[in-house]
Amino acid sequence: MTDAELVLRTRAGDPDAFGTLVSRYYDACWRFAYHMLGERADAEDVLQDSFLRAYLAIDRYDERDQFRGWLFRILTNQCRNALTSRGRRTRRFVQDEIALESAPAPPLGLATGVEDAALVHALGLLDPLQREALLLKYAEGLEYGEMSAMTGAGESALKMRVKRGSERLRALIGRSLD
Amino acid sequence: MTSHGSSGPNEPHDIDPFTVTDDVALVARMRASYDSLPSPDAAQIARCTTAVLSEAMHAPARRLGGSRRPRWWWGAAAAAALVVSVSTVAIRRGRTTAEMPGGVQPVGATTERGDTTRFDLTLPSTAREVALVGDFNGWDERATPMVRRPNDGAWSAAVPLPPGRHMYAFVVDGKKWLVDPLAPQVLDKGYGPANAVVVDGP
Amino acid sequence: MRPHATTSLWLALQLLSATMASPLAAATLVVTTRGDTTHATVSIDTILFRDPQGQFDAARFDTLTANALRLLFDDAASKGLPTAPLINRALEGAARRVSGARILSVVRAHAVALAGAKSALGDGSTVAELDAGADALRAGIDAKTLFVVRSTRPAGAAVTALVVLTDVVNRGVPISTARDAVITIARIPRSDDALLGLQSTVAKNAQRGPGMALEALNRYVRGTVSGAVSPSTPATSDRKPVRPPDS
Repeated sequence: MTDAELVLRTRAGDPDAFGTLVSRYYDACWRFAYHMLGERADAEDVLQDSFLRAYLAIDRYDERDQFRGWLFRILTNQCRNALTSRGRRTRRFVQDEIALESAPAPPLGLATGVEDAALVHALGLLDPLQREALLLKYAEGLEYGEMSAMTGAGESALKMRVKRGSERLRALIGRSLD
Repeated sequence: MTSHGSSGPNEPHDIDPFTVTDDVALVARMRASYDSLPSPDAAQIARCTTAVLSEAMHAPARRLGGSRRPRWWWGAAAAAALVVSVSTVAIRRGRTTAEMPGGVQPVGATTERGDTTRFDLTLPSTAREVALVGDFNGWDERATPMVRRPNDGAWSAAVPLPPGRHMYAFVVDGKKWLVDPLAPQVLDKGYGPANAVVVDGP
Repeated sequence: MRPHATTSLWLALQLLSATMASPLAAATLVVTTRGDTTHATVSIDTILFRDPQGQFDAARFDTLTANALRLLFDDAASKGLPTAPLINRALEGAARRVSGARILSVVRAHAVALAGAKSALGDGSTVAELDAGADALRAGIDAKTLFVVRSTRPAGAAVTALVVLTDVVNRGVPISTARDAVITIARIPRSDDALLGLQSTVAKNAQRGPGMALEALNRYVRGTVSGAVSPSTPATSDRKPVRPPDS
């Protein structure tokens, strides 16, 4: 069943339709939220908020849009809200950075079930906008046009964030990469 | 929402667009992290659906701007693992998710209006009948049958309750003892859990 | 009790037993204590008030169990304990369709706990407080903790605190931590809604994994104490208020 059909059924009160949408997109949203926020509980909260908002706004979803994109837009907004209200401090402890640089790289073909804690931690040290741009571009694989539509930022600004974010991230974990 | 190619006042113009050279190793590391992150288990996903259901159930219609609100009911096909009886897994001292069922949970609510307390319950599967039992009706299954609400399929019953603590539970189809997992619980070691509601009073 | 009152009480009881539909009710003196009545003093309106909570429907039990239960109720009454909570426990057992032996064991245990609750919470406590206190004791909460909770609220007003305390402890919060949290909030006047908010956040977070309930409890108490949650606003949810998503 397509997303559009599930949305129509959700609006009509179909028993399982919204539950199916949640199951379909939960994992993808989780990956993003977890890398953005760095903490499980926060990520789980944000996912709950995002799906709730999606449900409440389901009448306003336009079937011509990609459901995933529409949902992700809500998700990225919620991640930003969460970070703002958390009053995210940027810890720039020199020790942290040194430790990260010398942390061994997990081998490619990492066994599933093992997360890359060093990377997630390093991401957490980035400016949130840079982190978001890096994740959307490289982890989500979006084009700059799509990123612009999602975040409301201009493509050039996004490119700058990706560039600077990459540099910073490399500075943090570079030694363990090559 | 900016369109393709435009930029804000403080952002670089696209007249000289710069390209970002991908840091290949970094990109690979990020993708690997995405792939290796453990997937949330079914229980977590079910909790999310349950939470959305719970909050949406209480969202007043006006929040949706008067637009047609999706009606909820849960068909028998809902939820891969049905909650058979929460009473056996609801709470154990010190242990939590290890025993939680993987399915969507029942969602309950109590609302006071005047002297009456209304009990609402949304079940993850269809039931033929649901009875509200408690210390206010002698725990008698026949005393307070619940009624399905037409708009969202939730089961509902209203009972006049004096101020104080009242214990209650739900009996589904005459055989399943069900408690609301999130409402206050009373755990009798000899019996298992029941719910408690405290009614405000003078 | 004054002699007049005793006579009229006796007469009223005879009248009552003659007119009650169920012969069993006549054989059972249902004593519900209210307010600060603790000893054998019983007001007439208590007897005549047909509180369904207090009626013992012996037909739902086998004869042996019913008889044993009556003895337990009478014994409790003679000790000045409220019997309504015990009758309720018995009826709950019948509804759960558990064995008569188990029902008796539960009612006995609850009677003992009621006595303990009365001693910890004091004579001025209401039946609801004693019942909630008994459940707290049976959940492993010590009498001293009950005593401290009692000190935060006037007579009759400690039910919510006891209910919340028992609930969060059953969900894995260590007793001392739970006590401190509940007392911190209970001391604020009219904080029942805040107490229920604490229960709600602990319940939701307990499902997420070990230690999450405790974290949520600590966060909530910090928020309450710092004034982020005002006692008079319903703290029914630990979540942000829900607004429709931005379009």
